[in-house]
Amino acid sequence: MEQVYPDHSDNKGSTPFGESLPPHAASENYSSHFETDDELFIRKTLEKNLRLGVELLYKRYYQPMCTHAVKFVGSRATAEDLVSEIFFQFYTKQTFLEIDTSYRLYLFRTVRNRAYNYLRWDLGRKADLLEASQKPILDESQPDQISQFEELYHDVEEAVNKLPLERRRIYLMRKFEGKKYQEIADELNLSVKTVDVQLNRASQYIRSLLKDKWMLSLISLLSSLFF
Amino acid sequence: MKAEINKEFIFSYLSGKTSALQKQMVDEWVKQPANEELFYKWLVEYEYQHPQYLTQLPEALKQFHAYADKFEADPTYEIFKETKASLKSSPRFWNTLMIAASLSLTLIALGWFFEDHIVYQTHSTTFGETRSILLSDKTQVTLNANSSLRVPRFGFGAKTREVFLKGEANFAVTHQTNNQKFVVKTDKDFEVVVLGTEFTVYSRQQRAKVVLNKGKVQLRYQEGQAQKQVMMKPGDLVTLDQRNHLQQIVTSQPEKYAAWKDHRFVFDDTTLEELGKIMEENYGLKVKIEDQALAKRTLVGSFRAENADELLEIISQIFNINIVRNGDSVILTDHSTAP
Repeated sequence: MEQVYPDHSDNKGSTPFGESLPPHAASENYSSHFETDDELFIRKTLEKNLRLGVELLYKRYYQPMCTHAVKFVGSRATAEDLVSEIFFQFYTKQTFLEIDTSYRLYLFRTVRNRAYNYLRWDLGRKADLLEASQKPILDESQPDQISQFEELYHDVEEAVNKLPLERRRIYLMRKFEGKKYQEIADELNLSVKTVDVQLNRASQYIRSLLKDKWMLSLISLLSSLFF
Repeated sequence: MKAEINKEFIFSYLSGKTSALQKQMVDEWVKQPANEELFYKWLVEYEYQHPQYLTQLPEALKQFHAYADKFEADPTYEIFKETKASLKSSPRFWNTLMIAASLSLTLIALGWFFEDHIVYQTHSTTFGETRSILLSDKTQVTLNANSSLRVPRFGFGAKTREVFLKGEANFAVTHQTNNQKFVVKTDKDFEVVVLGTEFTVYSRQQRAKVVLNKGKVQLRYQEGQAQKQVMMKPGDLVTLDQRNHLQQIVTSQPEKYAAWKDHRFVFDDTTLEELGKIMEENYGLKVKIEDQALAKRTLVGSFRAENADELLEIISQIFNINIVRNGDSVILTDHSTAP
C-alpha cells in the first residue's frame, strides 16, 4: 500500500511542499493545525491533480467511513453506496475548495449526516412519506448534539442483538457479509424462501424497535424547521 | 472537566459504554472546533482498530475512476441520472419536489397535532347502537355498540387501506384488482391484514378476538418484545388475552360471532358472568351478580333482542331469576336464594 501519511519527522520547511502556511493558518484559526499537518500532502495533491487527490482520500478514509456508516444503516451495500456518493460529489463539485476544516472532519460529518438521514428515511418509508424524501440530501436536518448519532447507531446495534439467534445470523450474513440468499440457504441448510422470510422479519423487527423513538424526532425536527 | 476527555474517553463513548452525563460532556466538549477535529481524528482511529468488516478498496476505486471518466467526458453527467428517470434530474423538478415535500411534511406535522380531526373521519356508536358504514372502496363495515372506527380522509384506497378500530366490528372487505391489502389496526398491538374477505374483529379491554368467515387473513400481533403473525382460515377463531397470548381454535359457526349485526345474540355455553360483560360492553350496563353459583350458570342458544331490556327479559325467563334495573346498574338474583 502506498504511503499516504506524510512523514512528519522532518520539520515543515524541508517537506516537498515546504512553502509558507496559508494566510489564515497564522491566525488563531482552529483548523490550521490539522489542515497543514497530516492532510497537507492530500491538499497539495488535490490542487495539482483532483482525481489523484480524491484517490488518496479514498485510500485513507474509505474503509473507516464505510465501517462507520454501516453501524447506522445496517447494510454493507448501502453504506458503501452512501460513501461512494460523497466521494463522487467531492470530485464533481470540487468541494475541497470550500472546506475550511480538515477533510476528515468534513467527510465524517457528511457521512454521519447522510447515514442518519438515510436511516430515518428508511424508518419513515412505511409511514408513507412522499417519495420525494427518498434522496436524503437535506444535510441541514442534522441533530444538534453529536451524541444523538452515537445513540442512534447504538440503538441499531441493540436491536440487531435482540433478534433470535438464527434470524440474527441470517441477517448478519446478508447485511454484513453481503452473501446472496442462495448462499445463505446452502450454508445453513434452509430454503431460499425461509431465508427471505427471516430477513423480512428481522428488518421489520429492527424497524419497529427504532421507529417510535426516531420517527418522532424526525417529525418534531421538521416541524421546527417549518414553524 | 475538559482535561478528563481524552482518547480513551472518546473510545469508550464510541463503543457505547458511557453514561448520559458523559455523553453530555462530549456534546459540550465537541463544540470547540479544535475538539471537534480531535473527535473525528479519534473516530477514524477507532474505526481502524474496530472494523465491522473489511472493505474492498480496489473495487471502490475502480468504480470511482469509471465515474470520473464519464464525468470528464461529459461534465453534466451525474450519478443520479443513472438510476433515476430523466425527469427527475432537472433542477426545476427537484425544486418543485422540495416544495411539495416541505408542504406535505408541514401537513404531516400539522396532522400530528390535529390528527384525529384532519386526518381521520371517525365513526362511533354509543351503547346499544349498531351502525353500517360503507367505505369508499365499497367495503361494508358493521360497527357494534360502544365502538369506533377511524378511517383516513386522504389516500384511503390509493396506496393503502388502513382503518383503526376500537371495540367490535364486522368487515366485508372488497377485493381490489391490484390485490391491495386491507388492514385493521387496533390499540392492542395487533392488526389484521386481508385481501378480500369477511371477518369480525373484537378488541376490548379484556381480550381481543378475530373470527374469519370467508377468505384468508393474516393476524400480526406483538407478544412481549416479539413481532408475531399467524394465518387464519375460514372458521378460525383467534383470541388474544390482555398480554396478547394467542389462542387459535376452529369454530364451525363463524357467523354466530357476528350475529349481533342482526340483533341476534348467540350463546354457546356462555356463563352469566360473561353475559354481564357483554351487556357492559354493548349497553354500558353495570351488571352485578350476587351469587357465585348463579354467575357460573351457562346459557346455550340464539336469541333476538332489539335492546338491553328485551335481552334481560329473556334471560330472567330462562333462568327464572330476579332482575332489578336501576338506571345503568343491573342486579341479578336467584329466586330461591332471594329473601
